[in-house]
Amino acid sequence: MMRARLHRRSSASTARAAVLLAALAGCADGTDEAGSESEAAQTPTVVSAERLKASWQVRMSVDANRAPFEAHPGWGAMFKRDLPGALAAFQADPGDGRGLARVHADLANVYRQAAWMGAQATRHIYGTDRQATDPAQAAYLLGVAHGLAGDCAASAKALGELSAPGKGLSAHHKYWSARAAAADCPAPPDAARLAALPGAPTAVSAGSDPGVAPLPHRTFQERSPEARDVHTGELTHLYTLALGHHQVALSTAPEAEQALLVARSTPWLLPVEAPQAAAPALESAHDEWLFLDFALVGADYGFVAAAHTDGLAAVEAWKDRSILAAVIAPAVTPEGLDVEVVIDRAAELRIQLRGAMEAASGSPMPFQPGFAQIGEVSVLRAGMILADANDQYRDAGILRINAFERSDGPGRDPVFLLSTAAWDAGNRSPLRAQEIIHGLVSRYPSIRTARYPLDALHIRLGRTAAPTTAVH
Amino acid sequence: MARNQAWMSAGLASLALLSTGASLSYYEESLPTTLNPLFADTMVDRRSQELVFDRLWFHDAITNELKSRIVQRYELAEGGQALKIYLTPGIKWHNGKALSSKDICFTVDALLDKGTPSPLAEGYRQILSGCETQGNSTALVRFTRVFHNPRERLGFAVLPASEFSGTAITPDLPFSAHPVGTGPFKGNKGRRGVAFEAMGNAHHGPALAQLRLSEGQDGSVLVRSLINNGMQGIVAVPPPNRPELSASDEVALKSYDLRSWWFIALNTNKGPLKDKKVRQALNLMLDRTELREFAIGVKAGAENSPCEFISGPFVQSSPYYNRSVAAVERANLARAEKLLADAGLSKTGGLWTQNGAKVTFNIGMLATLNAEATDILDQIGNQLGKGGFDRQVDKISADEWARRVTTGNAQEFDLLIGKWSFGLVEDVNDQFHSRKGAEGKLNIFNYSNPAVDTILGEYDAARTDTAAQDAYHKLHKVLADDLPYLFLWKLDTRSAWRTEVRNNIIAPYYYFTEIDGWKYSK
Repeated sequence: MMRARLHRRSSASTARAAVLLAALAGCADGTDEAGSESEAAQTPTVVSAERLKASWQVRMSVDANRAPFEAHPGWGAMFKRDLPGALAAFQADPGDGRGLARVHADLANVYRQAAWMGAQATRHIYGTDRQATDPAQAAYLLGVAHGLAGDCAASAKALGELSAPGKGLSAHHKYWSARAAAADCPAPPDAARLAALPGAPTAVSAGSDPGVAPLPHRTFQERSPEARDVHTGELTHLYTLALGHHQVALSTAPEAEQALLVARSTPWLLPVEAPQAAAPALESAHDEWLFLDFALVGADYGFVAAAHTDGLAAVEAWKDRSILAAVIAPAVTPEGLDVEVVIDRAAELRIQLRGAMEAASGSPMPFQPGFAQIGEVSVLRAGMILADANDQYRDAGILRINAFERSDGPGRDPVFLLSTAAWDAGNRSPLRAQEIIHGLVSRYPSIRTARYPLDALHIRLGRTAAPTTAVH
Repeated sequence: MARNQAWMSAGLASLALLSTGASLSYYEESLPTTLNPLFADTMVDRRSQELVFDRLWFHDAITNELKSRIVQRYELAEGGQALKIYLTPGIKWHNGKALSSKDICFTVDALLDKGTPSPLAEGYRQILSGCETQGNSTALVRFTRVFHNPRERLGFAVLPASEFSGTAITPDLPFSAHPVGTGPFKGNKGRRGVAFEAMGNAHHGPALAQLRLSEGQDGSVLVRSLINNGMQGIVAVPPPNRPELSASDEVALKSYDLRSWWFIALNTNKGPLKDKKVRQALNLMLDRTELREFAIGVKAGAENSPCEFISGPFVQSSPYYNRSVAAVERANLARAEKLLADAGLSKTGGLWTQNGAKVTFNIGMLATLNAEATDILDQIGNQLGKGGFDRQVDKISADEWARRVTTGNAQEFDLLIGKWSFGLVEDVNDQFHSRKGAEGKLNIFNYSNPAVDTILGEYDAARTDTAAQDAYHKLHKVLADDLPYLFLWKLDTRSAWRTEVRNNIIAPYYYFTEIDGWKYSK
């Protein structure tokens, strides 16, 4: 089976282990690890070496291929997953526009996922856990959250509970009420109308991230004797900011590659935004899309988008073109996706990638473990999307957590981290989500907009939880 | 050292069993102080107890869904002020007896019995009012009032009535070392470790046959042992050792959701520390940036640091953290000296004196912290020495910390270095409220400040999120000024397990909730 011990197949790791074993010779009584030497030379082969050569990881191990990227500070910032830094660098030198388009697309997805996290938390605190002392305007916040979730009936019901929204809220209330009542609901919200609402963010232009207006956007009063102020952010504005970045990404990318950009964003769309088109049958993609991304070859974009919409059927359809589909294919069983096989093969791909990169460069290079890890995370994330689409919610969660744990260094993608925060909020589990937001907020201050409901969720759940005591 | 070698041998001996995929050995920060879930003092206690007992309801480690393994169904009763629980049939205790409604009601009665000196039970006394058996497999649990989501309140571990002579349960019973539970493993605590033997049951089918817990030592020894397959897991990997493990193909680092923050408690009832100015001076004398770099290996300005300074009794990501109160990151000796002079201390021959007598601080530290922050006790002592204070330093075992320090009986110390760990509930009333009645149960130096007590009362009485948050923001600000603690940092916890350990889902806070699914395969 595929679950052979990884360390027995890795020459590099066995070499390290041998050194460590030698160091331990005096204190650990020895073990039978040396017995694995004959197997150690084997490197896992999850896809053919020939196919793997087409991956950006292997191609970028060749100095000449990597040189154009190393010459541009935008890619240095992308290596650190520093989107504001990359935005500034690509604004200064946009080149053919792909790098700039990619940063805008990532920012769009950062704000989408932050808005989704806020919506998830709001649906709990003002839905299932609503309290009589909550501000009357909580109904509006709930209506927006349901609106972003594409739940028109729930949105209309919540918004209908607030008969007199008041001056500062009336335009927004009217907009969302109209959307919820529209015959085509849940059609994607109209970006132009959202941008025209009072307090909406300044329009996004190429190379800019205007952010949302200073927080808090709204202050309501509790319906309690103290009538305390409840501050919050307007998720509508965060979502408007996302749409603004998405539009700029599309307009900045070469026209022929807009479908790729859409496919790339498909897994991160909100429920209210149905995927806009069938996954493009991409065979290749420019390196400026692929470098450091969670697709190894161009066809992986099409596969991941198809996985989101079609589920397991996408694996068979794409396995001859997409490396990710090929890696995952043995995990597809009549019972569904076998997550353990996905996890194993992701790890094996990392090792195989590292070997292939070292072969391409002639010697190990410091960036290669990070590149290989992005390959592993790519498989785990694609598996997560497949499992979700196949109604394997818990299995998708296992793959998500595995991907999250490996999202270090250049793999620390803020879009995925925030999607995990949104998933946690949806599961009524605020602690990790708070850590994620806290870790990103200095770089993306606008996501503070979504922090208010998350904090309220934590407090509300903490105060209704089983008793516990602090321990040391 | 002999002890360490003996336990290492035990770990290696277990390799024979490992070849069958049956047994795992892992390092903990310390040995558990007790296996009785009523008296958990350390996170090691909590994690170990999770292996032995079933909590009535728990949260799925992946989806956070509220689940029970021992309740087959339930229904609200008595207008929502009670919950009727129907037990899953066929569950047995580790002593072979059948789990029954008597055990549920016995546990509730034990929690309600004021002769059970358990801080956890104290919390349940605010929630539960009684329990009635209705046949062998049905129990009616009554609440003090109607609660929203009442099952969320029932997270206690169920105890066997047959193992106790009455409902007043004390921590010194043999049960604390040799407990009987319905959990997936039977635990036996020895002097050098804990052996957990798998127990198949109607509701548990652990794939592993045995777990062996041993006390962690020096970080580099842990790492070598793990990479060498002498052990299979480390629950809390010291930050400086994480990069080496991260680079290994044999080991996977795993995140563990736990909110832990470190502090130095100051004895506000003793000597010069009675004076707030002296406490404030000590706060400025510590160079936390330097301490963090030397003890934890985190350089100033490092991105995504596992260790982040705090200015109050919450982690920075918490909604209770008051972000308007800045953390002290660097020492300011000039300001510290001025405060000390204002407090009436004088410096003679480079040492501070009060009323002509040299000031000597007796500094203690929870010994297990040394594994995560090497030489932190000496580093703090050195910084205070550099500031002009004579000092004595002492490490305190986890057992003694639980027995003497958290109970307020270690008043001979001036400073105590420790950490607190929390899950979803970040209530700090026990740490800072004056000790009286059920209040202030974890108040280390019996700190008492009426203004703080008033704020803690506001938090307790809060009926809305905002009121609770406002109260704790106020508390944070007051404590950062009054300084019964010098707040240091939060430190992330990360585990490492060999890759042969499969499906090892780590539950937030309780860790081993999903142990049934853990496997070992070559």
